[in-house]
This record gives sequence, C-alpha cells and structure tokens, in this order.
Amino acid sequence: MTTENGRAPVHRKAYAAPLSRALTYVLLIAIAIVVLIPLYVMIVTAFKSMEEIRTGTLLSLPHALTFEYWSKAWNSACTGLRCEGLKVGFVNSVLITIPSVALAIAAGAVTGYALSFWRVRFANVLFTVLLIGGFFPYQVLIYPLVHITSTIGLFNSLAGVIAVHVVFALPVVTLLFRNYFATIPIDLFKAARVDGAGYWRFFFSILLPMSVPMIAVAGILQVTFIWNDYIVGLVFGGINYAPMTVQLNNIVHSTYGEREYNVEMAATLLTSIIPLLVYFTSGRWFVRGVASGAVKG
Amino acid sequence: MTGVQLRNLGIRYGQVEVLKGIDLDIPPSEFIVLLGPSGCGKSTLLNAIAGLQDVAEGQILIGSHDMTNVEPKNRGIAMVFQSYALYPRMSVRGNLSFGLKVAGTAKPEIEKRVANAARMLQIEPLLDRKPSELSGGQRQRVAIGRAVVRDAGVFLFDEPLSNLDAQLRSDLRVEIKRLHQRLKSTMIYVTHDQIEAMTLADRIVVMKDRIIQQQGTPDEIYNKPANTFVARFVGSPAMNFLDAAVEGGDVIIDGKAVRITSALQAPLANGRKVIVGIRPEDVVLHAEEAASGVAVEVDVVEPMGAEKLVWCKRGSIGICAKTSASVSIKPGDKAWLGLSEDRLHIFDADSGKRV
Repeated sequence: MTTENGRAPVHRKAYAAPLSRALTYVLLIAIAIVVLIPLYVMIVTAFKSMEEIRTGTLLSLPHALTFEYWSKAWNSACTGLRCEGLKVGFVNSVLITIPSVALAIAAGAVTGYALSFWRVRFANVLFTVLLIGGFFPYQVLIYPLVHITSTIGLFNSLAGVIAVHVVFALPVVTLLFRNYFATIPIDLFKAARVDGAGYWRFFFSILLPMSVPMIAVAGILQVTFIWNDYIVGLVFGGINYAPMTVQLNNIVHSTYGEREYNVEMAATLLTSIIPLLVYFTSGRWFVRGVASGAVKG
Repeated sequence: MTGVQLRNLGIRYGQVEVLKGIDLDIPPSEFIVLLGPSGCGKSTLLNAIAGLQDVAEGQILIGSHDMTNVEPKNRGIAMVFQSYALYPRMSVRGNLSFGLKVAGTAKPEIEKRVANAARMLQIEPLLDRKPSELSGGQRQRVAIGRAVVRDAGVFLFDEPLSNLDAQLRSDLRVEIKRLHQRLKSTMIYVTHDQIEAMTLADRIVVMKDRIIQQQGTPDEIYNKPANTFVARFVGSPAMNFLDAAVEGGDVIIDGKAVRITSALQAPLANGRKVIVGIRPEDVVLHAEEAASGVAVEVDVVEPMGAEKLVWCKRGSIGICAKTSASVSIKPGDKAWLGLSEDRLHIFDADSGKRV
C-alpha cells in the first residue's frame, strides 16, 4: 500500500549489532533453561521407579520406559476415599469446561455487541460496572455466591459450577468482544441496516463470521482459565463434580505412607495436558486474534 | 419515480444542535449533490434521509410518504458508503443478494437482479470472489451494485469516491453519471470535492457550519456564488479576493480604480467596503504594458499542460491568473492584469454576501 501512495516503504532496522544479538540469545536461552528444567524433572520423574527416585539423581534419564505410573495416576490413584484415579476428574473437567466456555463466549459476544453497535441506554455505565466487576478478586465473592447458589438450588451441582464460571468470565470476554467490535467500521452496520438486517441477523450473518479470531482468543483464554481453576470447582462442585485440579490436589496431599512422586508427577502432567495442547495447537490463532485489531481489510 | 422533501429538519446530539431548520425539495430523478467541507453536516443529513440518524424535529418525505420514523429498509432507498462497507465474509454474490434474502425475495428473482446489476457494473467475473480479493475500484463497484440490486427509488452516496486514487475516481464518476442516466432514480450525493459536484450534479447544495449556503445548478453556483464561502469553495484554483472601497461607479483596489457598474444590480454608496472576487480564468494577463491594466510582479508560474497558472503580487496583494500555455513569462517579470468588468463578483466586506 505504501508504494501505491507514492511513499517509500519504511524499513525497520533489520539487524542489531552482532554483540547485542548474541547477548539477547544468551539471555533467552538462559531463561528458557530456567523455565524448562522443572518441566524436564517432572517428565523424567514420572517414568522412574521409587527406588530410582530415592537415589537422588534428579536430572538423570529413567532406566526403563514404563507407563505404569501414568496408568496408576489415571486409573487407580486414591483421591481421598475413592481410588479411581484422575479419569473421574478429567470427565468432570470436560463437563465443566465445554459448556462454561461456550456460554461465556456466547454471552460475552452478545453483550459486547449490544454495548458497541447499539446505543443502549447507559452503555458506558454498564460497561464500567462490568469492568469493575472484573477487577474484584473473586475469592471475595465466594461467600455471597455460595449463598446465592444454595438459595436457588444450584450449589453442589454441575450447573452451579458452570454458572459461576460464566459470571466470572463475562467481564473479560465482554471486554474482548466489545473492543474488537469497536474496530469494525460503523458503515458496515449501517449498510446492513439499509439491507434490512435486524439485531440478530447482523450479529449472526455478518459479525460472527468476522469474529473467528476473537472467538479463538476468548476460547483459549477461557479453556485454560477454567481448566486450571481450583477454587470454584472445589467450592461449588461438591464431591460429585470435583474437577481434575481438585482431584490432583487430593492425590498429592492425601496419600498415606510413602509419597509416590512418580505417580504425582504423572498426575500433574496429565492434568496440565489440555491447556498445553490448547496453547501449542492454537498459538497461531491467539497471536492473530490479538493482533487483528491493528489489521484493516 | 420518487422525490424527497425535507421540511424544517433538525438533528441534535444530546443538547448540541447539529442541523436546524433544513428545508430541501428534491424532485424525482434529480441528481443532487450536497457539497461542503468536513463537519458541515452533509453526511449527517444523508444519514437522516437513510433513517440511520434520529431526527429531533421536522419531517422527511420520500415519494410524498412521511418516512421520518420509518426503518431504513422500508424507505425505498439504497446507500453507498465511502468505506465500501462490504460484508467481508461473503462473496460478491452474497453481498449483492444479502438485502434481497433478508427481504424474503424469491430465489429466481434474486438471481435475475444480481445478474442484471453485475452486468451493468461489469463485475460478473468477480461474483464468486471475496471482497478482500478485490481492488478498491472493484470494491466500490460491488458496493454500487449492492445498491442497484435493491431497485430503490432513491440512491444515497456518502463520499463514494474519496478512498480511490485520482484515475479511478474520474472513471467511476463517469460510471455513476451513466448509472443515473440509465436508472433515472433520484440520487443524493455527498462530497467535499467540488469537481465531483460540478460534473455530476443537476443541482448543488453548498453547506457550511450546518447551514445551507446556496442551492442551484452548477452554473449558478459557479457564476453567481451567493457569498465569499461558496465563491472560494467552488472552483480550482480558488477565486481571487481583493479588498476594495466604492468610489463613484468604481471600486478602488490598492489605489487603482476599476469600473464595476455592470457587475451590480444597484449602485453602491460611496465609501462602502466591499470584497471584489474574480476567477483566475477571468484575469487577463498582458506581458506588455497596458494602460487599463494593473501593474504586478510575477511570483510563481505553474504550467498545467494546456494552461499556465501565474501567481502575481502587487505589494501585499496576491492574484492568480490562468493563461494559455503559449504565453512566455517567468518569475520576476513585470506584467499587467486586466480585470474584466462583467466577470467581477462583488461581496459585502462585513457579511460576505453577494451585492
């Protein structure tokens, strides 16, 4: 585009001086090592037998490749009184995460849409209140929420956990969508109104197809946030709907006798596998979505 | 065919009055251009006609029906936007047919109308592309096609050519004019470009500071500007303005008497302060001394191919003259300017109004 305007394209300085480049790399590699060593220790430990672990060679590779401890963590580790492994928690986490994320995105997108394109009365006040809500540490709200959910009969239920997650997700998801919609030219909205599209028609036919990157961003944020959540699941899920994180904690903290580090490491890695997968497979979408506000066309 | 009438139209943003008391009568099939600098309220007016802007007072009649509070889709209008405003995730075909689909038009009818519009605007090969795969000119053609498909009595154009480069702009300008000749719809066209206004309009409405300054044919606007604003805004390069005082039948410009009687309807009182306007093409430039001419010094010469613009100065006064390219003259030369009496525009110095 710049050349079309008759202006010379602007070149960013492509290469820094060799020394500062080398320093940058040294620093980055050092930080990467610091971050990756604990992960490495976790992975190798999950494959070692307890005898091997007791020798104290933290960084050495395991002698034999066995998935015994992974299988135990998944199938038969004791989480309190029950010894059915993490798989129960995994199922619970899936049951909690999928509807929570879907509902949070749906509600946030519609709210953001109403706040950005339709001149809702007191839209700015509403938005500010929503944002202030987002800044409250949610631990503060646990007690009143317990009261509310138990009054309306949602306490200790799957629906209760989901409802609480959606409420907590609403400020940030609404903010994401409102700000994204604010970058969309108002002429598009006007053109659609002249074409006869109403509130929902414009939302579903035009806005939503344009919002795929933002849906991905909100999805990634919320999947990791809700999957990693501990306190909401612990408080509102009761025994039947304890998510994977709560069960992991039970495995790690409630074993009697010898602590099975290998099983604990395997359990921890299993629990974190979903957020890791989400990051690795959708990082590209995430970056694109975050940057999409700056790109026109 | 559909005419549009605005009656005492007023628009407010909260407490701020944006437009007030606008009366405008647009007969069927007229091509009317709302011309003015940015912020003059012309786009707001267009949005109000489209139904995209709430009206605080007054009435909008389209085809002699009161449409003041009617939804945009039911007003029988179509609109083209400066930013094209194409639906980015739909193909060109999808863009053209969206409005008809929403209205529940039968499929064969949609196909017929889309094919018609595509042929008219020569966008048939583009029908299955996405807007992002089109150039700016193609996008605006599609946007115009989307308006054509609606089969509306009134077309609204909101600076449709402002995002295009000069070549495309003049191509599409002709295209829009051809479209008007063919469809004979009423067209209301907003622009800040006086050349677009002059070339397209049957009638121009010049606006400034939310007020209609003058309305008339391009010829009237150009040759009888109602005030100094209109005179300066229309025409390129702009009209020359000279401060002067009346004395007898003459005005005295920088000590030199120029006869103005024929430019006036009635004689002016002696000593009255006026502004004398003259367009560059009405200034006659003599390279040799002429008795009736005003002596000036040439400051800058701009060759424009067929013509030359010669910027002259006399003391602190600057005057631009348009001459034929064959006149050889260079900066620093002396020259003599003749101001043709019947081409002078006389404005009141205080109000800026034509006298």
